[in-house]
Amino acid sequence: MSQGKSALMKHENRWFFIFILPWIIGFFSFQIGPMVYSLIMSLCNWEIISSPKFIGLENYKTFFTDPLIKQCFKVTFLFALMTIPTGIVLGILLALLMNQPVKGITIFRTLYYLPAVTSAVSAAILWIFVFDPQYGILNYLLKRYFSIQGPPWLGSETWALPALAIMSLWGIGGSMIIYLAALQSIPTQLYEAAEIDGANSIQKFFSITLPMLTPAIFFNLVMGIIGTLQTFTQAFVTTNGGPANATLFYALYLYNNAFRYYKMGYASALAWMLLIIIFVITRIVFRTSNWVYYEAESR
Amino acid sequence: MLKKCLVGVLILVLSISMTLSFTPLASAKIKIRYAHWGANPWIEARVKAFNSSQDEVEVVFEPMADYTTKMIIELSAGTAPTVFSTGIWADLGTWMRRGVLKDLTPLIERDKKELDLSDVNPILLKICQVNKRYYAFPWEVCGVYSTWYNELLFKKSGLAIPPDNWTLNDFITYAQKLTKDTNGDGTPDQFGVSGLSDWWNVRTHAIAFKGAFMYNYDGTKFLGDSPKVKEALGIIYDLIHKYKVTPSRAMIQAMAATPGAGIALERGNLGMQIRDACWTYFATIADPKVAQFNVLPPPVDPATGKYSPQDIAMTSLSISGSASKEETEAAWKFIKFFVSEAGTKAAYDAVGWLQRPPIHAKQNKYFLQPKEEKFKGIRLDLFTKLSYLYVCPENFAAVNLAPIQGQVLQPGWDKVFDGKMSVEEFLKTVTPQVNKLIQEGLK
Amino acid sequence: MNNVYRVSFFESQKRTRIFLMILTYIILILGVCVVLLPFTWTLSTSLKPLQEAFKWPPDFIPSKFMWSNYSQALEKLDMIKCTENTLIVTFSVLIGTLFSNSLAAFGFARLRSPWKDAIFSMVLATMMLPYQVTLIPLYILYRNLHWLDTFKPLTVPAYFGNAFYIFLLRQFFLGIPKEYDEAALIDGCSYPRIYWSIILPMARPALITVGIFSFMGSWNDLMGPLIILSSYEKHTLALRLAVFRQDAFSYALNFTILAAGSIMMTLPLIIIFFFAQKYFIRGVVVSGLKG
Repeated sequence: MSQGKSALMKHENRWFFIFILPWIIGFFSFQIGPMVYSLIMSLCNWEIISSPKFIGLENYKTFFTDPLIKQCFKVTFLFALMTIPTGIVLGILLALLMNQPVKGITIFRTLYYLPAVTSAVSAAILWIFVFDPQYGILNYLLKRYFSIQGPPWLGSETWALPALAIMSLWGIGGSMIIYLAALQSIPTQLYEAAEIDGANSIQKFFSITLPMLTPAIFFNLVMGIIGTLQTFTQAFVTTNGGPANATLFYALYLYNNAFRYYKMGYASALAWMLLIIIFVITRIVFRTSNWVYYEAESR
Repeated sequence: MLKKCLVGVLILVLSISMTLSFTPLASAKIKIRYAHWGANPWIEARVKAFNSSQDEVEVVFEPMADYTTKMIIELSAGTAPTVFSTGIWADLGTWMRRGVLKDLTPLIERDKKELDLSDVNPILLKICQVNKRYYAFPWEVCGVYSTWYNELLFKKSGLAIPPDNWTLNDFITYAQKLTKDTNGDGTPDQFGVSGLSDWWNVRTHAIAFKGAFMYNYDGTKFLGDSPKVKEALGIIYDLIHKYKVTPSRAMIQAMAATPGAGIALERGNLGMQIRDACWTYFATIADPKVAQFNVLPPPVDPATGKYSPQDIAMTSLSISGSASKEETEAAWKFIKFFVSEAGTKAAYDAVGWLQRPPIHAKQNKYFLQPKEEKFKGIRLDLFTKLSYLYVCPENFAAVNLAPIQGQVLQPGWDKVFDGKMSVEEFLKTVTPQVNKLIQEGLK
Repeated sequence: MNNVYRVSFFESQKRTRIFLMILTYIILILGVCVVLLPFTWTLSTSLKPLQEAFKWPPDFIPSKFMWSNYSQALEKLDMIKCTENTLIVTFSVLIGTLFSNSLAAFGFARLRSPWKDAIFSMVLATMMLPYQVTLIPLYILYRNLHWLDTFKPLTVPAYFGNAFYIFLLRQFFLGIPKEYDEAALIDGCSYPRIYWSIILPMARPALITVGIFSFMGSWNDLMGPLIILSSYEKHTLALRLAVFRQDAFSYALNFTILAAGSIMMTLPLIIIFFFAQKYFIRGVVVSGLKG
């Protein structure tokens, strides 16, 4: 009996490797080389246009004493806290809304997805206009309908980061279609069965919809963590870290060190420290993920 | 038998024709790549004219986005274009010192007569040298700062156009009179001066007002301890906090993303701006009902009764350090054409005006006589007449400018602008940091 | 007595439904205004004459509709060639993405292996290192392969998997009940058969989502073409627009044309998304498992 079982497992194991073979080839061709290279560079002083010089763990020592690193962490984690939970809730709500069999919903879906399809640079330029303290739409509306004098958004040390968070949430269309696809994959049988049992809409949502959405929620949570901690483009195009480093994201500081300050070695060390941090956080999230319901593993 | 002969003849014919096709042409054209930071009609005109004026070299123009990043990568990998634009906004100081640029000194020496540098300001050439070796060749004069102003606003405020020898105190008075609340909402929306939240502009104004250079002549020391710098920054501090003639940071920010937005000359809500010659482009996009420009000399320093010495900068061309001898000669041929009268004329003919004065004073006529109607009457000659003032190649020889500006000076000045730090504190904090970064770059 | 009760119950149900529908519309329209606001400005800029474009605050309705901005964009920016280049890259990537990632996701979701968790961690880890530090070694790799200034570095890696899509598809595949696989295995189906005939059709919404993301991603990708491509004729749309935005004078001079160019660049994506919805939004999901 056990012999048959192990043969089956070997068989499955072999097929597993066959299916992931393209990824493995790609990993060894395009991924591992550059990653190891950057790890070695993190132990060097490298100005890019001149040869690298080995300096051991100096860059890592600097990491722990660099005052700007604290600011980077503050900015990046604050931004993550502002955008990840709100993003998930908003994404789900939007997807639920987009799932309504209302006439013209296809047009609405397209319009809501539009921001996700705009290139980051164009989007940033558009938002600089919106956040203009004098003539931007946002402050205009605040003044007209709420009689509030809006803050100087991107020019203010306190409001620049929230402004970038708003900008980021505007692109929620991307995660919306993931939830939409997930909603579309829920078999209607389940709802029919629930109706027969006399469940109302709220009960249906919490006992069918939400659990069936958890794989997508988990995906957006993990990708949110991995992506948000590496936020770069928005800050680069709009505020460039300012004012007074109020929007100095970790990835922006990394980029500056690499391509503006000619300190690629230090930037590589920063990259690897970030990888370790993200890896640890992701590991924890995976470990505590038994709230995710996978139909395939339910029995 | 006949078949064999025919086959033999066929083979012979084929092999002869193949040999002929592989014979190199008498004069093979050398193709070289030339990269610049974006599309630029003046450069494109020169490239076109050069290519059609001779048969040996073909220059392929490569406008790049994200220029510095891409160039650094290509320079380090040895795949950089043969010739490319260099200048202060492309970290020339650092590149010169790291061996990625070709030493042009032998070429310049050899072709001295052809180049005829007698009418070129020697400082422009000094900027291109490190340890007396040339690593770049200038073609355009930048960083010549004068006072652009909106004539319409002056008229509207009932102000007479100041005479050429107006003083710094006059400047401040004008700035105050031009700052007002025009839409009655309680906050000023028209300002006398702009750009004082950005360190680069602060530096410009400090030099224009008091000749307060931030670096020494060789770019090896930051002059944060100099009383002149302290005084000049103090005046700027007063403009911001005492006289309140400058807009907030956010108001200026919009301008960076969108021409015509924010507080800007072309929008008609800014009175004066100390900038270099290329800001003639304002005139191409401004609504004449709202803004009409002209230029004044920088204000006279009341302490000396004279204009302050100014700094100067330039845009240049460099050759890749890894270029072969053949490519270098081809690129050098291109560079010589670029700065010659033929090159400048080609740019002028194609666009109708020049953004900045060329390095040769003899070619200034192309800068001073724009065909563009909107520029008629603008005192462009101030950018060439005041050249005797240009005594310092500010910043160019200085190395590591990007980290100095990005990591130390700008964040520090942000605090001063917001009133959270005094000028003394600012200078005390930044001077050692900047000097440390300079030393690191000089190693 | 019963009849009256039933009628009024259904009437109130209908009223609630209408009320909810109106509420939905209101929320949708308000939301759309928020979402579209930044675009209205680009759209109006793309139709204005250059002088008017710099008026601030901007007029949303142009005084005259300069459709010539669009034809000028096509000509001056040579958008047709750029679109050609972009299409070549995008379609190539699309095929490679759908192929390689669905295979890998199938492996992670449906097959067991003692190595699975460890390798999956590595898959995710490849997304955790900021790309800025691998740019140069990758560039050197491509230089050594003589792939620089070609489309190969932009398309070939897509045939070898991408952590984002593998993770996404894995989540969707895990939502498909294992009964299907087990039934097929009993019937003597091989794993590739299960992959092709069972899992792929069931995961259609997910695959279309990946297709949409992949298409949009390559279409808008700036970093890749910027670093890899040099020749002017090989520019993709994103790169061509970026190059014209770089120089301040060029930017100001071509402001309205650039706005028209951006609109034209985004338009195909909107149209594709609009029609792709049909394929992944289905009215009723038929489970297919009989008894």
